[in-house]
Amino acid sequence: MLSGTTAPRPTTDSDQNPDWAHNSQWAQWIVGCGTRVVHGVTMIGDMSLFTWQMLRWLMTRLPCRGTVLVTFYQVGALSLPVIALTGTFIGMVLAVQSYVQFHAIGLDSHLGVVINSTLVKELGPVLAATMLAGRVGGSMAAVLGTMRVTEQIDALTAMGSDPVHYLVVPRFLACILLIPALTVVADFMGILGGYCYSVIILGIDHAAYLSHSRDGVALFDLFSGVFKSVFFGAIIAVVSCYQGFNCEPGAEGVGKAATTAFVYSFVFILAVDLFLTIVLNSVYYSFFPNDSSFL
Amino acid sequence: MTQEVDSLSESLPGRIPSRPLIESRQLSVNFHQNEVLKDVDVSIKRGQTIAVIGESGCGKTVFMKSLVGLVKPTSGEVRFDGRNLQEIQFQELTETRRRFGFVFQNAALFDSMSVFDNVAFPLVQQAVAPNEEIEERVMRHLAEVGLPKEVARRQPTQLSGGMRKRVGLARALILRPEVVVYDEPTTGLDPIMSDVINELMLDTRRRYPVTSIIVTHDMRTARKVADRVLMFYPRHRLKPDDPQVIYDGPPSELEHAEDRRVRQFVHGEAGERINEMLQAMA
Repeated sequence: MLSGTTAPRPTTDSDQNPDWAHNSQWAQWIVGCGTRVVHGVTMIGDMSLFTWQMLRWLMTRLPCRGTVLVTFYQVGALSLPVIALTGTFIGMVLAVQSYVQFHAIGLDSHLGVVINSTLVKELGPVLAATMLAGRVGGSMAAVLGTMRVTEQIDALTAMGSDPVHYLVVPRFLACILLIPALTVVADFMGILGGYCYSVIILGIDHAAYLSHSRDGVALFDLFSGVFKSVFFGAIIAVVSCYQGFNCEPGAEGVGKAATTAFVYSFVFILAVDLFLTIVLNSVYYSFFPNDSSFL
Repeated sequence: MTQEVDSLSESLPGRIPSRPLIESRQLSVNFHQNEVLKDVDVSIKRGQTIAVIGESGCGKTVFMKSLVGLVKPTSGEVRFDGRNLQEIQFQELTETRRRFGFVFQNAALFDSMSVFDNVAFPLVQQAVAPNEEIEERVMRHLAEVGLPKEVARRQPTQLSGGMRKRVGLARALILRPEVVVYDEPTTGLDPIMSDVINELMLDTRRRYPVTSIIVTHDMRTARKVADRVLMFYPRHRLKPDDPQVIYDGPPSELEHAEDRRVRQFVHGEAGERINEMLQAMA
């Protein structure tokens, strides 16, 4: 977007170049782009340093058990119902959407293959991560942002505690250790939801449904989904805590931190998902070059 | 060797310590393009009570946070007990920070904890005392700031502004710090509660051998509690070579300061600022 200026500009040496004078809008646009690039690179650098600081604490001294348990409860136990519920609905929606096509070619009993495979490989991990980014990531950014704005993070530092050790490490541990379990729950509930809808509502024979479903999902599929979820958990924790720590002042700043935490987490999750899927596929086919069940 | 001589001279009664406890040398702090502090030289001796005054945006809070290492200087240095805070290792910086007690403007109490847990936090984090001693010390410090036992069980959100400040003071004192730093301790309080806080600061000084730094707008606090006043002036209103600390002396001399800007601040007179505002609006 170009934004021109109508106000007279003081004469400078560069005005002797007529191109500059005629292209001032372009110059501003380039300056704007440059500023955004610098801002982006600075943020990535800052976030890398932040992650490194957190990993260093993780390797040297773990936080106390009380702090960790409270965070685990908030991240894991409180996220369980919403992830189970959304997993169930996604399984049912998959059944509804796929049924028409499968019914048309007479493969109703194969419906479970596509539902289970999609859930275990992709939708389960991504859905669990999305719910966690929304419920936990946004909350983390808002809580830490409020702590930044009200000087509670400064107070921690002033009292000789390290805020990254005290506030970030427990949240990171909770996210990376609990998201695999939440992913398995999302997978299971989705499979259950898809089965219930297919058998009870759509009237598909349950023995045939189960028989075909079993063949459609390999152990590696489950592993790849759970493996990816660990990275998603790390992204949620790092991005949300970073946004909270760098929150701008005021209520608007806290709101912005929470929103940005979710948006950035989601974008990073999808980008990393693509990358990891490609890598995992390559790994799988390098070990089992003739296997087509992974497709 | 020098350190031994210094510590010996400090321990002798009646002698004035030769080395300042806190010292800023050519301290400058910039935030992006904004110059907040420039070449500030201040030394604070052990046992002094200093009020740092000045209008909003003059850099007094930034100065105070620089002294504890919460804000990194752009250039210059801050020395505590002879050691440059920028040169010491992380562990030593952490240990140094524990020699400070910090009372934040809005108390900065942890919302997720009760008052008891807030005050006990520094002790619990350092694991320096058994649970019975922690409880005894927390209750004693709460009593010293005039808070009843029942307050210990409450959450910070259930307290009034004055109570929060007193809890913040109790938390700052629990580790028996050598320096207590107060950031606008009476801002937002009614006159009675402001005086209660002033009395508590005086009481703290009587009870413990602390050095106190009070950042305040409140001239009553500066006059009543401090024995030395530093006045900062906003950097953007000064010429490049002008000193930023425009007054350094006892509170009793503030009224008769030669610098018109100091008298103007002390008397709360807008002066030429009204014209500046009108010109800006035009």
